[in-house]
Amino acid sequence: MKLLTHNLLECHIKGVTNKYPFLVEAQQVEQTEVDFNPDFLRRMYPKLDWKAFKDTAEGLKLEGLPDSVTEEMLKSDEAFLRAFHHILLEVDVEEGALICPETGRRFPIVKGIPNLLLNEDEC
Amino acid sequence: MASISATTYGEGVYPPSDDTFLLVDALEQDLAAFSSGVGNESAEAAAKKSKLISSPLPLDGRDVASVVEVGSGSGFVSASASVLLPGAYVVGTDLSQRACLATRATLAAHAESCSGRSDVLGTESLLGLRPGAPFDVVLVNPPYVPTSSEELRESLSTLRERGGAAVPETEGAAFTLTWAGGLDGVEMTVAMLEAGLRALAAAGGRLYLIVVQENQPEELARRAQDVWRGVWADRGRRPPRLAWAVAVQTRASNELLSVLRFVSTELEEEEEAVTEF
Repeated sequence: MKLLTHNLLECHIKGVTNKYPFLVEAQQVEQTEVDFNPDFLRRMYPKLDWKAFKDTAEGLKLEGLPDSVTEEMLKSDEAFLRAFHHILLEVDVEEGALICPETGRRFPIVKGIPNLLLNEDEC
Repeated sequence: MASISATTYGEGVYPPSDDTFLLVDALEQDLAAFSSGVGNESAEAAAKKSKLISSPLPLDGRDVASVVEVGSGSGFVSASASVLLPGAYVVGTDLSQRACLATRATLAAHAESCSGRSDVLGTESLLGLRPGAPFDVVLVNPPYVPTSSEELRESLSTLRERGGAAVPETEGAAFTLTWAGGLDGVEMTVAMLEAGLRALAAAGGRLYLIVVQENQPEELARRAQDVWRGVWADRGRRPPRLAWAVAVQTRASNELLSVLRFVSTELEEEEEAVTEF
């Protein structure tokens, strides 16, 4: 699971209101190389929740993301774009869990795949 | 068809079939139409023609940043999308863990031609993706064979009880869910279509959906319009027009397979809240 994917997920247990973002418990993290594509980053940036992204990265001891992002940085700050790219796409949580911020329910991440399937009584 | 050579599937996973290939054909046809510059009419104009004449609607691959496939199974469609759209982020979802593993393996087998911007998510439909999680292209590959509601519900319960687990006891249920569509074959389709429409990025987004004639495509399209109005009413906004057409069609054994294409046709220019329509 990439942090990009994590940024798009929330807990969907019926009745839960504090559902975003999931806390990430990482037992095994891998790095995979992904083609650097600044245009992709510029397109995805407005769709992300930056605070959730930065907080989650820091929880995984991934430093280097700024508190806020300016247009100028997205346009031409190569060092920023490289760090953004790396943390967004090249870090894969292989084994661990996503934890609902309200209920503490653990959703396992196995072989890089988060499993958000609910039990019948949670739907 | 995209050059997907090493697809993984096995017990409890739907193998790449005529419907799978047709879904990829629909996407590929629209991308090719843009590259060659043919059929450059607006979605609006295309929609005014007979709904049941299939024709390409050009898609500029550079406009596609994110793709989601609902019901990714073997991963054939997700991997094809990733190869066809190397600049995009592709997510495949499936409720069966076996299918999720197959999707991941198929994506990994094409890592060199895919960009690596992909992920797999174990869930029902698109549950767990936050509202407004934006996808420029949504590919919906539902189980569409008419069955009883009970057959569908029982398999769904079995899989939920086991957390979608890839264990022998769930194989039967997992496989039933690859084809069992409930009444008229559309119970899962309607749920997936609704989730897919919610996930469409507001402007220029499009959704491709596989149907068979028994699913009553015209009726499905009408329901899609209702859902679309509902989605935008929830946001307090006037809905952009949702145009639809048959993108491609083929007869395979005893089925008339079609891919329906739904396109959001207006640019998002009215940002202010709308109180009455």
